[in-house]
Amino acid sequence: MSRSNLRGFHDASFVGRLSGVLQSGGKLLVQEAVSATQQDTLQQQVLLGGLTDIRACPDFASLPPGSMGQLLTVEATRPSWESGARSAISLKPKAKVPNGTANGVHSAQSPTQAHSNGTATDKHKIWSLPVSADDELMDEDELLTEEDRQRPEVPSGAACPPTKKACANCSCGRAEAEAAGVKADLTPDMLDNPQSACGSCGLGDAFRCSTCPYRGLPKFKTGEKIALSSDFLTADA
Amino acid sequence: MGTDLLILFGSQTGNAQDVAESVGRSAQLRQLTSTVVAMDAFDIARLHEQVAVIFIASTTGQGETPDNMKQFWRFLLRKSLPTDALNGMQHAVFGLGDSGYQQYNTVAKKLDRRLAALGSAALLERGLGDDQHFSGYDSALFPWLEQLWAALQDLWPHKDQSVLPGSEGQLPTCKYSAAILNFYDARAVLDTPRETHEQEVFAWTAFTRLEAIASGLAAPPKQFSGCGPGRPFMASVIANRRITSPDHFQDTRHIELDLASSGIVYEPGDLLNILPRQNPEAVQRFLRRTGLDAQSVVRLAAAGAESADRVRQSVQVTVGSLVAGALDIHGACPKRFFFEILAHFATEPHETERLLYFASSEGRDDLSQYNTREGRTVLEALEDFPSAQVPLQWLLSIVPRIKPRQFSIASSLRAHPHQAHITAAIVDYKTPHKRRKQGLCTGVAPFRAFLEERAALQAAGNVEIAPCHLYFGCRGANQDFYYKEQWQEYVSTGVLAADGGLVAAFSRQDGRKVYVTHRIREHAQQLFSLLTHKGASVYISGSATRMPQDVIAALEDVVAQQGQIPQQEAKVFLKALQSSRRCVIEAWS
Repeated sequence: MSRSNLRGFHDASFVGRLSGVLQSGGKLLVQEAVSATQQDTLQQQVLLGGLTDIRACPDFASLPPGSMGQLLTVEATRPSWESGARSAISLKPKAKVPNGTANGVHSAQSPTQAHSNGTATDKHKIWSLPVSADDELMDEDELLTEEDRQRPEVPSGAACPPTKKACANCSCGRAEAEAAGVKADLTPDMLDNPQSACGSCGLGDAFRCSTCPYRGLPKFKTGEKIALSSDFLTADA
Repeated sequence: MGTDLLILFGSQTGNAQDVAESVGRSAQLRQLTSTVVAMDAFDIARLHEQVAVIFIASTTGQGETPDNMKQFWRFLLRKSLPTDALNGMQHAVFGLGDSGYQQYNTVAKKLDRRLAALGSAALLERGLGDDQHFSGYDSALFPWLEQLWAALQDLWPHKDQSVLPGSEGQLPTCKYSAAILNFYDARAVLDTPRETHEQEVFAWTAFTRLEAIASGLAAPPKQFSGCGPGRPFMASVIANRRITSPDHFQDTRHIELDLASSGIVYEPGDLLNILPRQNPEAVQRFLRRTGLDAQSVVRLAAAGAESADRVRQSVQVTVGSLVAGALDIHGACPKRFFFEILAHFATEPHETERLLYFASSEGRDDLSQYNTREGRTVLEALEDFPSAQVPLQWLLSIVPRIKPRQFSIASSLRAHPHQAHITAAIVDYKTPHKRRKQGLCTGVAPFRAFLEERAALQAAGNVEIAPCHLYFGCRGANQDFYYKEQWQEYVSTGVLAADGGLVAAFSRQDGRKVYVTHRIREHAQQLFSLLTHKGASVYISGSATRMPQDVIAALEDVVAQQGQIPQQEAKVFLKALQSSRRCVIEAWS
């Protein structure tokens, strides 16, 4: 019997050590202070510690005053088979019951099942079976239909937002369209005496339009020369 | 489960997780409770009990499932699951992918199909986010979410799912709690003798573990000795040599690292994760901007953790080492959530307005323009919105954590015991608006590892090694033909075949442009024989945008021409090679 007022005290590796001193078929009682949401966790840790036949005892003893939560008692058994034991399972369902519990391989009740209010049907047991090396997996590529295998075409120029400037290596024709119109380029005068009709240019990139000639430059106050930072490259390499 | 919605994610770089968390927050605004957790951290035995499950899954470049959903996915693929296994469940899938890759969003598509095949009913058509869109996956996400909320309203018509007035303006719950320790409590941390860099690495390690706990990822393994994922090793640099000619524009380094006592072992083809160090100037700027005191000691914990957990999992570090070591302040772009939270803390009306706009559906293109398209950093964004004073626990939540950089290992342990070599090119590039950025990328590294391994096996004498053929594309023989002498030695020792074992393609030599694809076509006969009679495998390593596709196309031409079969059959042959792993592509961008 192992008892603790500290939540999380019984983790899988500790339970494993406890189970090591049990005889085959021996029982272990674990008591731990848990909150309502943590009952599953304790049972899970006991399962992961290598014990089977896990049962949560429904009577909660009371804890000393001032403790949080409730004392949960979990009873479990050290299995009669040693690690490395093998047994064949047939996974073909017999009537409605998956055959996982036949042939001497005992699958431990999952924490959920121990807690289910009896509505889990036999077919749902398939979710709790541990995945063994014998479990066949389907070929996932078979899941894709012809339509799934298609890739969308690269978005055309029309998909770009209307305010977006043409890219340097424009392949969709926007660059020619822009070249025909008047573009606002950055001039040395603008660096010396920056002005902004909308009032937003000086606030920094966060507030500038995508076509703003000051994009990429630091913030400025109207009329004050813009100081270029040392890592700003003004010419194309 | 107890909550209305179960939101499961499979995330490799954190994007899918971000989306999952934001869906959870949006659900909360609509009075729906939810649980957000990584697929592998969820007890799949309880899946069939769920009524409404939302899946957010990203697809990596080569179509692989993210690590934190691999087990879950394996379980779902079991043939033994009957077609009504998930009757009674409804699902919704949103995928994050990149249509630049052949395997576009295949993970989400397969998941959607498999869930339906197991009897789950789709609430709505799967949504597919695409990095190629102007505003990335947001483009598809916003409309898909609208449909999702409508579908849930139809599913539960009697449940009030309206957004309560005023709720949108409320600050959500922070994932973390942060408390500055007083002088006496801080002493234990400050007195620990650790030099600065080690402190930073310790802060990163501790914060990484805490983040996993706070985010509902699979619980990290308990006390481990030795190094491995999430447990970095401080390696010494044995060598750092430039291996491009001085007149070459690119500075490529051959770097040798001493792994001595780390216990780290690797095989050819493995990746080395290297934790970068941040620019100290940037760290200082950040501390000034946020008003944080580098010397103060903070205790961090996952918010809402129960008391025994809290003590066990809390982290105590100096603020300075946390910022420098764990928070990516001048590298990665922040996410939309960053701007959402910043809006809560900005005090200037025009800043608040702009931040709310960036975080909204209408503003997503402008956000993309400002943020991801310009490689905006956290520090820059904070300086652009100077009125926002963000408390430390929120900074932890919205500033991306420093991620290790991955490098293909360029050496073999057999040739260099206790060492790892990498080949790294330092790349300078400009953003669309001429702001300077730096990047790193690698090329022929895995092949050096591979060939070194084979050379060592051959030298040991007991294994017969079939000669390899290395096709290497670079600019010029004297500029960037990395490890040239080593390849030539391998030709003379037979690790590389005597005939056609080392084939170089120089794209800027003697005024001629020769690419690997040209060379492939020149050696058509030999390559055909290798592929079809000798059972050769092909490994392609190159830039994701074009090179691998071009090589495959060239090989298809070779097979079609030499085998005298139609192009289509040659395509099928190459596809079969790929699915049987006899043709493997490592693509990077």
